[in-house]
Amino acid sequence: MMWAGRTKETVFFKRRFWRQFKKQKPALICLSFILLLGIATTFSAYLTGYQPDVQGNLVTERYQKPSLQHYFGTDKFGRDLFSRVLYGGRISLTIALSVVLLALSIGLMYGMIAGYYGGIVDAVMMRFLDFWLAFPAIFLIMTVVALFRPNPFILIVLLSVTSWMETARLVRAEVLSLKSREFVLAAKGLGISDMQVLLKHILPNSLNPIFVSAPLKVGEMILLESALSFLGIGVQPPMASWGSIINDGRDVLLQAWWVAAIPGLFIVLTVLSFNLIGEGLRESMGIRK
Amino acid sequence: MIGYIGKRIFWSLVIVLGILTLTFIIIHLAPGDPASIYIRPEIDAKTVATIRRQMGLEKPLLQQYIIWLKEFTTGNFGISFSHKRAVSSVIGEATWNTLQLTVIVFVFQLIVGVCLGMYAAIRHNTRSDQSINSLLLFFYSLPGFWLALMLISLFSLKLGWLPSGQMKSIILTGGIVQQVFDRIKHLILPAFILSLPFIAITTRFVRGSLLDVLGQDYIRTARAYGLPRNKILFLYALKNALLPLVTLLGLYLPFLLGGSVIIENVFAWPGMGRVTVNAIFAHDFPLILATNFIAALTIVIGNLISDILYFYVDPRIRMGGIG
Amino acid sequence: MILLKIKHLSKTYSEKNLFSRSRKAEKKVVRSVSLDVLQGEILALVGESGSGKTTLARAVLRLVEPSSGEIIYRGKDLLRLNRKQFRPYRRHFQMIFQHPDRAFDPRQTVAAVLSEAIKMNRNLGKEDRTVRTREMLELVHLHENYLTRYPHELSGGEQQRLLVARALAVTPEFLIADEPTSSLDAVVKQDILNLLINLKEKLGLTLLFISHDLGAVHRVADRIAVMYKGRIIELGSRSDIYGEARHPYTKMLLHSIHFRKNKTSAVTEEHLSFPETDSSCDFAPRCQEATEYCRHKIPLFKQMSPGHRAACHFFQQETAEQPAAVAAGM
Ligand SMILES: Nc1ncnc2c1ncn2[C@@H]1O[C@H](COP(=O)(O)OP(=O)(O)OP(=O)(O)O)[C@@H](O)[C@H]1O
Ligand SMILES: [Mg+2]
Repeated sequence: MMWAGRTKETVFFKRRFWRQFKKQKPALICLSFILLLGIATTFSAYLTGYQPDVQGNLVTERYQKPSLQHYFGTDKFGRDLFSRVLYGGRISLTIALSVVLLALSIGLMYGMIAGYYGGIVDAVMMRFLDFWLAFPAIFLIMTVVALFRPNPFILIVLLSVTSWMETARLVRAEVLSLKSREFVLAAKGLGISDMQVLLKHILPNSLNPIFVSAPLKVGEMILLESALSFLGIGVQPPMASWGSIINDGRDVLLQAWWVAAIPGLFIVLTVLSFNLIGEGLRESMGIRK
Repeated sequence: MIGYIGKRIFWSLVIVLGILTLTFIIIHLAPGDPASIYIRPEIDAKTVATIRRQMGLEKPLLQQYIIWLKEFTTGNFGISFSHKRAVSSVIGEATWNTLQLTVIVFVFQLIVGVCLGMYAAIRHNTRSDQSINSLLLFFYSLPGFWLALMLISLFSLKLGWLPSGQMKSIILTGGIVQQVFDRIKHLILPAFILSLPFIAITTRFVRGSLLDVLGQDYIRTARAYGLPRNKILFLYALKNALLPLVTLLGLYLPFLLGGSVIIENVFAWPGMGRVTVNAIFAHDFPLILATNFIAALTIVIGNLISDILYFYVDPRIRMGGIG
Repeated sequence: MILLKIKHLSKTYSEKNLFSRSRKAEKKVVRSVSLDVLQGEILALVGESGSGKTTLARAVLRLVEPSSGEIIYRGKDLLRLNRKQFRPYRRHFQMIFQHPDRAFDPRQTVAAVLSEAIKMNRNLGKEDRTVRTREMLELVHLHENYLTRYPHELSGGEQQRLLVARALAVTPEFLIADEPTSSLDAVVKQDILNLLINLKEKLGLTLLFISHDLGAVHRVADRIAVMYKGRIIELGSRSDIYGEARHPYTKMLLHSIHFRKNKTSAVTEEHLSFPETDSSCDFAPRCQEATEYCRHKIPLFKQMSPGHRAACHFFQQETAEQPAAVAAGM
């Protein structure tokens, strides 16, 4: 979010956008990596002969080094780490993407309503947003997780309700500036209803900053989710995410470095990719920081 | 001026009240009797009844809420089950420990970030600017807890140069100098790792605002009068570019606290973050609620301070222009 | 017959700060304008930049909410209706916006722009709409293969013509054209002016024609209203204004056709700023004939001859230089 900014000029067309985006080599490479990762994690069952949660022989198959048989080695239960990393990636990505989808939707609606209605509605809504921003998200999450048994659904909801605020602010600013623009007046002047004007003319033109911030937010959420899972207050066994797999390797850093190192590398590569995609989007839409 | 600060203080109080209310709601929404939150399962029914009465759980909800508010705001958070002493004393220690870590991180990232940002601004649109930018993006993409594990295995386990956790060595002899030295050794890894994302943000911020200021007219004027380039940079631009940094304090606090929760747990640093996570596993609710509250309070106060600082720093608000 | 009766219409922008409500800077942009728009006429509205022409036009169409006043249409005060009740009326009043480059949604193609407007006529079928889209393009001399283009891919003049097409596609009864010829070359300008006159004559369209271009106004207008600092200071038929303008400001405007840039009197900041009080003639600071009286009393909008009104304390005096030559030269 820190890197996102507001659109100077809301002109943005599919054609021109693609022409520009194609020039962003790093972003394109990252996009392919993410797509590949997405496919690999979704169809992980077909990529390995192992299952992520099936234990191996506890005597002969514990902590095996990466080899042709187990690409990423095995953990203390003799489970194949390659299949676990792909499986954990599926969970991590699913959670992060759902959170971002939800947070962006909340932020979009909130910002649109505040910006469009303005006046007292806007003032109250922005005050509430400030309040929510002052709230220490991670502590709130920890309290709730402590009270309720953590599951992915609660995790998604919690992460979403603590991360929609920047989006709401961005959207509000866009809507506020759009609603007095002449083309919006012109649409109203034609006799189109307020709702239609909002949905057909204001909404599509305020989406650019959200597009740019979305990949950055996905990266942020992967980091946050993996940290929570690493601490043991996120994804719970038998489910696994990259964070919880790293936790498995925490006590065997020297004996079996691969257990902690490899899922971490995946986090770094994935988050970096999302951030570079975000940069590429920003460049190609001509949005200044 | 009084009006502005007064308004801000009032607003902070509203937020604190809101946070307390929300916490209260969460407790009562949780499955089971709120008493079970405060009472360990193994305690017998009679004691439960007494505690229930003490907590006023028979009273109407509104009254409970008021009592609870009063207790909380006067610092009476109850007894911690896992530590077997007053929550306030547990928290007092933990806060001090967290403070040591976070203050050092804040100062360190500020120094590095400002220097890097200045360098990037002077060299903007060159190779070095771009490499700094890439490096920052990389910092920003690193999971701190994982980096911590990797550095621990290198510097502590393999090389044995730095301790892998805790605040101080178990057997520590020598005077104050040795103690300080020991503390610094324990601080290096956690502080460095926790600083990285903040270095990224500060650098970007300083670079951006320096370039903004450098583009402004009076810098051009100063240059036209023949002041040497570097002097202009330092005399005019720097001051104007760095002043907005004070607002970052408020922005950083939630992230700093959040980050320290994770780092403290990796390094077994006995601060608020570690206390909280342990409390979660011990179902030590009085402690959880209290740390939550303290964290919120810290953030609110941090925001308040940075608002007030900003008020003194930015003449535009002082004149009542923007509020 | 009166199509639209505008009564004491005012628009005040209050530039209030969200945080300090006390410091409110009020800007009276349209000040108690009363004007009758007659069925089937072309009424021109002239005045210098910033005099409030656009704001008046927008207020009449409720694109900005007027601060006070009445707009009577078919016996109904349109300002009494709430937004929803007013919406069906929007079809009858259309506007050609002043800045063609800002008046289109950047994400809509020409086809989308036109079909959105055409859809406002509910009774048209899909085929009829396509036919109508073609017709509208033809009407403003735009080629069919423009349909897939985006507005920003059109020239300023083409955009302006598209604006005309969009407004007409709704089949309005009353059309406000806010400087519709400002970015057109001479040939296309004649085209558009002819088109507007044609529309008036063939379809009985009523027009409010806002312009700086007194030449164009002379060509198309039946009546002319002159606006200065938010007020109508002179109103009359074309021959009234071009032949026997009364208000010194009107004369100055007509004069400046000939002496384009070198103005009759230097304009200062004070002249252009909006008056705070309503206790003097607004034009007094720039008026060479102004007396103490002008500076202390507001002039009434007095009738000169049937249909010709002016707000000047000197309305009875005939001044020497009549800009008759100007009118004749047009
Ligand atoms: N939304 C607004 N808020 C505040 N002031 C405004 C607003 N819109 C217009 N104004 C002011 O109202 C005055 C009249 O503006 P308007 O656009 O009506 O003038 P105009 O006669 O159309 O000028 P031009 O010939 O340049 O188009 C100007 O001083 C302008 O600054
Ligand atoms: Mg105008």
